[in-house]
Amino acid sequence: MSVVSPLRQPMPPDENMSGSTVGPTSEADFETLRNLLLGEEWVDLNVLRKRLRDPELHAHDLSLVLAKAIVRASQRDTKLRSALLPVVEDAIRISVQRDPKVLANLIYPAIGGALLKSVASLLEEKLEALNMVVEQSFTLRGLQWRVEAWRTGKTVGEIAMLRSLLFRVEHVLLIDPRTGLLLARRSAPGAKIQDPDMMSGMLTAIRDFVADSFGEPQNQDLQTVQVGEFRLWIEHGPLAMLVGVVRGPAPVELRKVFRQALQEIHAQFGTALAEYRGGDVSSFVAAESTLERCLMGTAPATATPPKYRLWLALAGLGLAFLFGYWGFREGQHRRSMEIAQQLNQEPGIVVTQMERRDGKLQISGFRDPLASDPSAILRARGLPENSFQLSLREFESGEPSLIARRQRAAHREWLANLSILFEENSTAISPLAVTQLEEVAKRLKTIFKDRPPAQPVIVYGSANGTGATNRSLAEARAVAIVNLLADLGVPRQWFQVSFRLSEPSGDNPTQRRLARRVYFKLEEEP
Amino acid sequence: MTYAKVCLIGAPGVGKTSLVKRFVDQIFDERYLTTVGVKVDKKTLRVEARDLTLMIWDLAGEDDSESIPLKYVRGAAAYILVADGCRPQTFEKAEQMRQRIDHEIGPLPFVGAVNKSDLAESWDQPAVRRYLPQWGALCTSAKTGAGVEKLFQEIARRALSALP
Ligand SMILES: Nc1nc2c(ncn2[C@@H]2O[C@H](COP(=O)(O)OP(=O)(O)OP(=O)(O)O)[C@@H](O)[C@H]2O)c(=O)[nH]1
Ligand SMILES: [Mg+2]
Repeated sequence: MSVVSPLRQPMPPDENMSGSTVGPTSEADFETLRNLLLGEEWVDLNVLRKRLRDPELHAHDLSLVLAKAIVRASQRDTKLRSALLPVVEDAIRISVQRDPKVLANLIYPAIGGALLKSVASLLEEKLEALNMVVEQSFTLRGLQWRVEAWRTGKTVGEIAMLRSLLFRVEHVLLIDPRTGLLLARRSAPGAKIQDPDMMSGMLTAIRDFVADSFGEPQNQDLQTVQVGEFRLWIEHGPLAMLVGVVRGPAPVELRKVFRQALQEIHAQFGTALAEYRGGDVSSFVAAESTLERCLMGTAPATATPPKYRLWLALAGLGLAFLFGYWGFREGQHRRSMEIAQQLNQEPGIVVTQMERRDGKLQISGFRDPLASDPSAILRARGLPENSFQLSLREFESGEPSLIARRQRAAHREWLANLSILFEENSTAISPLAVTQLEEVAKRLKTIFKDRPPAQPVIVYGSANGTGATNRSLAEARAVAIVNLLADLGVPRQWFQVSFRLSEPSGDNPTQRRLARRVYFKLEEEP
Repeated sequence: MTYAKVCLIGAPGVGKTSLVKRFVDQIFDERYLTTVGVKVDKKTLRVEARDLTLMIWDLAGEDDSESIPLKYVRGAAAYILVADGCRPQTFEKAEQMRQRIDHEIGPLPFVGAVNKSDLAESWDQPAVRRYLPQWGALCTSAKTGAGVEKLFQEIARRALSALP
């Protein structure tokens, strides 16, 4: 099919060029023409030209698009970055040369966060481990926590801490480390504190004292002090320290909460903190809401209130450091004191006070539960058994060797409390169990990093009921676990497989579930 | 509430702890128990129509000015420099400590105290006559309480004016 279109006649050329005879004859005409042709645009063009030539206006215009331009440029390639790098490096260098503290304090909140992510991934793990425990214990409370976690956007671990009945953070104090003055504080409902001002001063003094005795103040900062039934958890920042007064056994994760609060306070009150030299503390009132969030746990108060005043106990801690002056110069006695003084060189032992009483050298101070036995040391150095009396309070030392040991102890405890559950009549390892075992492998490798276990780790398999079938089922479960751990790189010879059988445990589903498990038994660390 | 940290500095046995005890608890003890490290006490007093809480750091006396732990002095708004009127060397030691603080921490306000004024008949006259005006010091006795209240009022006043 074809469509016939009307024919187009080409225009005669001279008609088409009819305007070409009107040419510009002078500048004025030209201007008129431009105005006619471009109209308002010509005015705009002139304004634009002026803007480009005037540095002030040009800078102003550039400033409007600069941010966008930088974003674009850095998206396109790395040229901008390379160009800026030396400039930025130089600026930082100059700032650090002028006063390193300025930059350090500026980036503390950020660095703190980064450190928290990397260094304290250990803590994260523990939080996760706590999650796991909650997930496994399908109690009503566990369920409530999960609902609350979902509602508030917190992790189950955090909620578990907040609601824990095991411990309670009774007071949180924010202290200026230079003056030892109390800047702000918050207490749990009903919790009493006798004299927080005094406590702040004394804690700062103890901190200085401990730092003094150990040299290196940064790494050896005092972290915990045991005072009667309370434990003081101390977090140090460059401009402030945060002290939590905690009753009952609190999880290590609590430290993370404190650390975060302290970082927020640094971010919010950095300048006020840096400038504080004493005087009015009312500008720190606003920090109280951050402190409030540290008041975790709900452990009920003990029926009998503590007889001593908290700060008095602190004073007894060795802050008074009173030596009996009399007799202290006698030669023999002096020698004993020197020997006792050497205890300070032991990791995890701090002697704060020595006194001659009832013919004996009374030595008081602190001792980390993981430190060597001080009385054995004194005897080995020639002090007769009955010539001294030790009264050392427990504290958590920051000594690296003891920190490692404490971590190993925590891993052991975690392992000892772990159950890996199986389905009825099955030896199949569930996905949850695989995650658990990856954690087990990691922790075992940490515990036995330096030397393999002297006694093998016993892997107990269990089954619900007695008899040969159940026995081989139990054993097969333990073997399956060891196989998987071996796949994860844990030497097989570290383990010994065993089994535990129990009477069939009726209809209670939880009990039945728990009877189908594998668990570990480790020898105490020598 | 306004707070200030103040320190007591001086040679051993000049009566630093006794002065604090007299001021805070209104008691005096003849026994000498030397302080090790530092002991912190507090008392609120009224200065220039304001309540000021003094956090009082009583430092261990040192025989050698080099060994006073400046760490404890940092953060103080002012300090009390104590000498024992009966022992001339305690003045010299105190003066050395004052100079060391000036040098390492910067000029901090201080109030001098020539202590044990109840034993004024056995005071060392040349030392007292030299340092009393030089420091603008006060005469005190922790035993009788003479001059103690005034000493702490004065240190509170200095501390307050040193605060921002
Ligand atoms: N007579 C008299 N004795 C005093 C006075 N003040 C202190 N003493 C006595 O001097 C001795 C030392 O007093 P402290 O207050 O312990 O001295 P200190 O300066 O704290 O000594 P260190 O802690 O060792 O530095 C004690 O025996 C006091 O009783 C005073 O005003 N008059
Ligand atoms: Mg003293």
